[in-house]
Amino acid sequence: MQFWTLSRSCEGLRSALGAAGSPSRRISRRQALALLGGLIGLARGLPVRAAAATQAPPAFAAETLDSALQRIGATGATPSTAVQLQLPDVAEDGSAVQMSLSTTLAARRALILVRKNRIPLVAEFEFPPGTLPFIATRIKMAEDSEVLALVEAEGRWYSARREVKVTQGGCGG
Amino acid sequence: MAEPMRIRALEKDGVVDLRVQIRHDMESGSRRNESGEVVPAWYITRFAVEVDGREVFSARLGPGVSRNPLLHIRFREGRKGQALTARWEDSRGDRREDRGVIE
Repeated sequence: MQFWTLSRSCEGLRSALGAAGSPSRRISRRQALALLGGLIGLARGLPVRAAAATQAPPAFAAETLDSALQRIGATGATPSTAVQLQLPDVAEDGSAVQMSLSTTLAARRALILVRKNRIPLVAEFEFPPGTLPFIATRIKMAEDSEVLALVEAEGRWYSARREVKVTQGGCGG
Repeated sequence: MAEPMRIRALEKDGVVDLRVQIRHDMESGSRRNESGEVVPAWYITRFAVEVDGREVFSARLGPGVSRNPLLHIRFREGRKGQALTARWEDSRGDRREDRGVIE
């Protein structure tokens, strides 16, 4: 019952935000201002790297999967059986869905995205030389959704997709 | 004050199997508390692991990572008895660093 209440409050909030203008719009404006500041700084020949480093990467601000893929630069990712994405077919609790990602490709970077989450990009992982391209963690899923794994190997993007049904939504990200 | 991470690193056949559990609420900013108020977003944004000053893993996290994040990774070139450092930073700028030993 308590879970149900939480889930409903997420839905209510989502529509309320839709009506009132989402906070991410404000973030976008702030980022736009920061970018403008950065450009002015560049024009003056001032160092801007320090300011840029404190900002979240733009892909984490994307509110649709397509927008996130564009910002990542991975819209043309090739589906590959060499990318193994493991998830349950049905997740009882959307607030903690166990997942793992591994690949036989020489991958230095991998990302996890959940199409139907408010913020689709869940995480980005870097594997320096000597680290296996493997990660297991737990993610939030707001509702039934496609989960997408992206792997960058030798300058190209590869992907794997899984559909997961969620019994109890997790206010996902 | 943030609680310590739980770190378990086991070396076998030249591969270190590392599990780190971070203690953090990972508030997404889309949840309401019992009085109906929005709980502000507050989540870990960066995570990294170093062995002997060499970074073996790093990640950028968003609010879609579950509460008390558990990260499981594998890397080569770690020896039993070697120390490792895990660190995170969250969206409020809070940081934490903890040390573990490869067993």
